[in-house]
Amino acid sequence: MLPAARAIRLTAVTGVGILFAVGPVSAKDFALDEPASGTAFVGSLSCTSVSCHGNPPAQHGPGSVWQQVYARWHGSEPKYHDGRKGYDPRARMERHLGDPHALARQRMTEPRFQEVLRRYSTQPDGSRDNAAMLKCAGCHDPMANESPSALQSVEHGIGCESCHGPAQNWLARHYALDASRDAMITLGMVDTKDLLTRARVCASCHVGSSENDMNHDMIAAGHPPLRFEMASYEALLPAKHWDDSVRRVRQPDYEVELWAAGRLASTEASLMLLQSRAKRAASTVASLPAAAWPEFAESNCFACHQSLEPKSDSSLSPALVARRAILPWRTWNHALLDQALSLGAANIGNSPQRLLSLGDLRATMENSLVPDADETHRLAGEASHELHLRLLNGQSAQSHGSTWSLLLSLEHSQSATWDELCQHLAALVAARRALQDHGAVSPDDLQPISVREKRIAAALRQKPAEWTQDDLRAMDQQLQMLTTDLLSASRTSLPAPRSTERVK
Amino acid sequence: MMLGRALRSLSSAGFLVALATWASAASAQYINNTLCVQCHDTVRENDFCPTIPAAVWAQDDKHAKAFYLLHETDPAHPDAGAAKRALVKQILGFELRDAFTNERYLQLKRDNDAETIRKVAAVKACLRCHATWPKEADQQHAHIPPVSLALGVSCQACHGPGEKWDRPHALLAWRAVIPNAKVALGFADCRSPLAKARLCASCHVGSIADEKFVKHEWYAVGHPPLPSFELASFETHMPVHWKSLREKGDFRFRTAHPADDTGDIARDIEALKRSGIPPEAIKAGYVQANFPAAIASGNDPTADLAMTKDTIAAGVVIFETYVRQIGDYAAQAADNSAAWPELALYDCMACHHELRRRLPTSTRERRNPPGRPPLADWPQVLAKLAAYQAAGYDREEADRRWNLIDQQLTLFERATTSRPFGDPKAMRDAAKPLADVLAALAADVDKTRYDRSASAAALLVLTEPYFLRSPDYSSARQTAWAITAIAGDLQVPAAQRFFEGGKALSLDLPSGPRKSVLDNLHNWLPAAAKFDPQWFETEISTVRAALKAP
Repeated sequence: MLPAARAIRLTAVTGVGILFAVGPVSAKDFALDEPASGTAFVGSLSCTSVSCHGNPPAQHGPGSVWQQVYARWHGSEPKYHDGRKGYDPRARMERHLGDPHALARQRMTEPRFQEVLRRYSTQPDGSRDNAAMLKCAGCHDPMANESPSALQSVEHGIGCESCHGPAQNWLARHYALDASRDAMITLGMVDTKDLLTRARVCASCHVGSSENDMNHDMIAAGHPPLRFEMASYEALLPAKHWDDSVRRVRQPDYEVELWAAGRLASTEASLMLLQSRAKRAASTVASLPAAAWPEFAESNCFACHQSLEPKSDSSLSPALVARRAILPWRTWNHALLDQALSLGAANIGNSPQRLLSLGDLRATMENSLVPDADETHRLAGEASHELHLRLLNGQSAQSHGSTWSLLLSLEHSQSATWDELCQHLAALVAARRALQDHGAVSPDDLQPISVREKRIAAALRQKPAEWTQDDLRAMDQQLQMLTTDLLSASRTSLPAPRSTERVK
Repeated sequence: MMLGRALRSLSSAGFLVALATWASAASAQYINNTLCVQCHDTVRENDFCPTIPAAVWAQDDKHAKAFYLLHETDPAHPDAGAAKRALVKQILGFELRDAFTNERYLQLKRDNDAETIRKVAAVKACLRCHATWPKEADQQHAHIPPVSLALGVSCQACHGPGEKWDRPHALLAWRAVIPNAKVALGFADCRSPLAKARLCASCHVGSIADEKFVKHEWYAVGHPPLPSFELASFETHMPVHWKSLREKGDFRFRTAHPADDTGDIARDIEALKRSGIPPEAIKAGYVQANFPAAIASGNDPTADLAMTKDTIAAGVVIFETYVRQIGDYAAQAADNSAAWPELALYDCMACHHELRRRLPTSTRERRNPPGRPPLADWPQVLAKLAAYQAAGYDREEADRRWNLIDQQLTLFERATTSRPFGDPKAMRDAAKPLADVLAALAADVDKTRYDRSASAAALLVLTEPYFLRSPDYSSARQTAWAITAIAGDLQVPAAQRFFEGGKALSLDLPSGPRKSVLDNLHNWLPAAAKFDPQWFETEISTVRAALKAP
């Protein structure tokens, strides 16, 4: 089971989905908390009876989405692309239908995966290291770590219980007419309807955790770097096994709230991950396996990975002008955190406040090429503690009119890195989808907005390693214009933010 | 500098002769460069030297312009300096002239404030390679350069401070003096490929001991990256201002007292003795003085193919220099006297590579965790070839020799990648045994024969499929340079066409004073970015086929 799901299951009994709601867990050590005992997995097959979630897909018969969950998740049989399996190390498993999570276990058998594992293992005889493979399984096949026999089955992958929680205690109850949401949570079901809880489940792998630490060694061996953004990832799922159409009508800010939940969960997970990395690297902790330190995955990829070809003066970063080699702390996971927090702040009538300890943490991370691990551990702990307290105080992303608030807050935000530019675009796309759900954008307005969106997205994919400061500024201006377009398209039709009202 | 290096090379080779009674070279003085030029710049009948080495150096050799790169003071180009000054200001963080007393760049400031001291030290670090101002000269030349800066890297930068050998080296009998005795007068033994390679590599690879080191901070703000360094190819492009012993042919005093001597030699020998050369250091001829071991074994080093010898002997010295540079820096870092990590120590391309979406089909096989800056691979390539040369191209013996080095190399690599940036103490400790075993290999290859069969065997080794698997760009270029250089010795006609005429790997160097190293970055850096190891493997097999063709 995914560690975040574990932690969430632990704490979900209170119904608020906050990590520290139960247990004497100190703020400094929460990343390493123990899983609860007494619940067990039953396997995805238990969910797939035809009368439950195992109806055939829609094209073969009638049925609601909840009845077709298994078919939508499982999809069609995968095919190999880019080369033949067993012959070409680039061969890659793909399929058009179904949820990619269902393939996660099978992907471990593909030649590409095995090649990355081989490179990561660095065994003298070129073999694959078993311990390394179990590490991979932490995300690719979480059931494998629960029961070794599950490794034999290709069916598991990231299955039902990986996200919804081990079902032993709630399987027989969750379909009862009188089964309440709170009761199910008490029994260990993960409240994935709560967007922050859902985002935390996703972030436990897509950002990482102390147990699922996808580090730079793995990236260098060939694993793609993690670049998670909740709203776009959900939009990209080819056949979602849940139906959010009704919710989006009742809660038209859904996309923006999903985006904000993703930002909060990403920041939270990345802070806990950094804390655990620093703790393992810190001199004071001897009992943990040593971590690579500095951990390059914490840095902006393009700080190092840039072309050597000569550039103009304007490309010199402030760090270079200051004549200090630094590894700029990666901004992907906490970009636009202030904006995400301010949506919730409006909800409880507070003025938006920055996460204070983040600045100290950044300063420490960028103080030297080898940041002080003890200090990083302390400050990452403080920052995530501060974030937890803010979330505990009811600072949720759900507030009516948050699309409007987000657009207004983005109007003057500046993005200085490629990571931030990407997150900025993702936020605007989420806002555009919410505006559509509001019925606030006319088709005439939508057309130029979509064109600009696509143009920016295409430009962002063009060799980000070679971008100069001028390129970054120019792109930031493009995003400002897109923000302005969205605001002017929706200004007449959106309600002003109502700070106290909450839509269920 | 060159004396220190030469002494080190001699001692590591194990035949340092006690020269206690001889003058200490540390006090040797630099002479006015015009004293060199007045002979070496004129067309003169000479059976030993090419007639006009100083003219070659002055007209065609970039080294003469080394200081102009920092600040255009060339009277012929008064306006060309703005861009250079701007770049140097960007690299240093201050104007070059801030460290000098005035705009004529004749002497450094003597002020004792911290700011001036810092600037003067930084500029001196540049001048170690961009002019003739070795660290050893600092004792007597703290603020005024030993040789005019405007001359760039001039005669005495490589040949040594001339005060004590200027007169004697013009004597015919100088040819019969053993190298150590010349070294004791400050005369660097540039005839030895090992000593020569150490000199060149001290700048072109770097040397902490000589304070010749381009730190990453300078690269990051505009110092061009130092390319991989292959001595024979760089010499050819320089171009050379000397003749190889083979080209010199039968010069006077080669193996015996000149037959046409009319009594001048006896006067020469008396003059040499007065200069501090002991009588026992004067042999029967040049060969006896320079190659005593070869005489005994029946070899004739004067017949050696020079390009092959320089490629192979320098190949191993360059690797040794690279390892010592890292070890010496790590030692300073371990003592907290240098900042750590220093990014310039690692393989540039480990970080500065394109981020690929797809897994490359072949990649360099690494024995260490991926994702941590490793050592550069290219300095190893020709050292590996040297193991074959030392083994007489017996593959088993070569493997045995290389394995001895590889054991030390493995430990050094492990120390470098045990954690990101490595552990400086462990790197310091692992560098020394590796450098020492490389120095021993260098001494061994120096004694071997470089005849046509050795060149042919070297070419076959370099083009063996197992020799270089999935190389990176710099290793491939190092191999290609070596192939081209050695094929030049054998006058292989097809060599002109190898590697797409050298274009695909950007083998051409910006030789001559008018071609710019900065401009050439636009050639070799894109070639490095586009480099495809599979293309290279195919190309190597084509080269092999061409070499094997009758």
